[in-house]
Amino acid sequence: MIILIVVAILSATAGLAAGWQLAIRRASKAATVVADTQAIADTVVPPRLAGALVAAARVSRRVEADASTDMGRLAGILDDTIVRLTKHFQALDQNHKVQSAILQRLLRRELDDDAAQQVRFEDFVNTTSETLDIFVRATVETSELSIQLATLSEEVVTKVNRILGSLSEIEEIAKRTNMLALNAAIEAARAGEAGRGFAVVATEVQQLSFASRGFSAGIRGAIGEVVDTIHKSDEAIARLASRDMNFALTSQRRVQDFMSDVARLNESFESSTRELDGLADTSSRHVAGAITALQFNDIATQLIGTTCKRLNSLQQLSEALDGAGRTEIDALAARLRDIDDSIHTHTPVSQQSVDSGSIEMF
Amino acid sequence: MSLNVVSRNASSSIELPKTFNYSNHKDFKSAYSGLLEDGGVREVEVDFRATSYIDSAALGMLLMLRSCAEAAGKTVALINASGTVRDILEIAHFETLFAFR
Repeated sequence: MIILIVVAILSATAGLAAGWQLAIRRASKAATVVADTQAIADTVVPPRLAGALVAAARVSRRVEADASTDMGRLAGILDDTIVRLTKHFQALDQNHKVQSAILQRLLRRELDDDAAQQVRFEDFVNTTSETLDIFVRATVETSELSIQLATLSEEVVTKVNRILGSLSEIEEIAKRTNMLALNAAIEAARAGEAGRGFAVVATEVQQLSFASRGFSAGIRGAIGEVVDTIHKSDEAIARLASRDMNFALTSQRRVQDFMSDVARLNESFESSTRELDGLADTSSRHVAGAITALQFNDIATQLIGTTCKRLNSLQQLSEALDGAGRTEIDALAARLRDIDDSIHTHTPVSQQSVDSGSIEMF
Repeated sequence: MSLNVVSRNASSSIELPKTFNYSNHKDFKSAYSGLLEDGGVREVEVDFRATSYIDSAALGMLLMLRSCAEAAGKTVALINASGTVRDILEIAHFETLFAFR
């Protein structure tokens, strides 16, 4: 019994001793781990810094990825926009060239038309001037002839007056013949029967005198009518001869005004043409300038490429940082695991207390 | 409305009235007839100094004077014509038929 108890005590003591030893070993191990960890902390990378590195690398990677995506999108937008803009500008330039050509054609035709029209205007003016000349000449000739007619009619009047003078002489003869007949009749009456035959002759002579006076009166009346007619024709001649000449001056001035209007119109058309030409040139230059400016596309694409490369370098740097961080953390973890393993290797894993289980031999 | 005939050495002037038209034709004819018959007159001047209106009859009378003067071996000059009167004489191309002064 006593032996059993001794054995038990011994065994317990031995177990206790073993426990102490274990405790001491553990303490010593722990001290070693602490020392090792301290060493790692002192000599390698501090674990918090490694964590920060990994976190920073993660953030940096995300930012770089976002930036690269943005850069890619920017390059895409730039390319697309510039291609479209260039296309539009080229279309604009093309339209502009067509428009210019149409304008030039129009202007040329307009100028040709204008030249033709100028010729037509000149023809018109020449014809009008010629017509006016003819009309003026005809008017003046009519007047000259009318005045000649008036002169002739004056001569007619003079001659008619001469006829009237002759008529007066005839009337005088008739008067004297009548007187002669009267005297003869008186002498015949005085001669009585013997003068009877003579009385008949005297009566006949008186009859002739009366007839002559009647003819004279008839002729005088007719001549009076002729003179009246001549006076009337004189009035007509006067109207024919007298034409106001201001119509010719008015027509001539109208033609001159018309020609100066045409000249002014031509001048204004030519200046507008020149202005249009100038505008066309300027627009052309502007469009060409815009297309040239759009070639900055190449430079922008190159810049984006360079930026992407730089971002890629940053990516590599991040990878490196991450790698470094992870390596250190892995190394630390491995060391800790080793330490842990070494601790657990020398510890009876199943033993719960010093009273139970067998004595573990080291 | 009257016409004055002013005689100088070799030329004589017919001074026209303010308005020269058909109503003057008898006076005008007698004025130039007298001058054309005058052997000492070589040129007949028609003076428009006072004249501001002429019609086609005036032009006709001048043409008659011209033909009569040519027949008599004399010349005709139109002097002092201005303004509208001058324009009318020119529109009838009288500068090709008469001497203008």
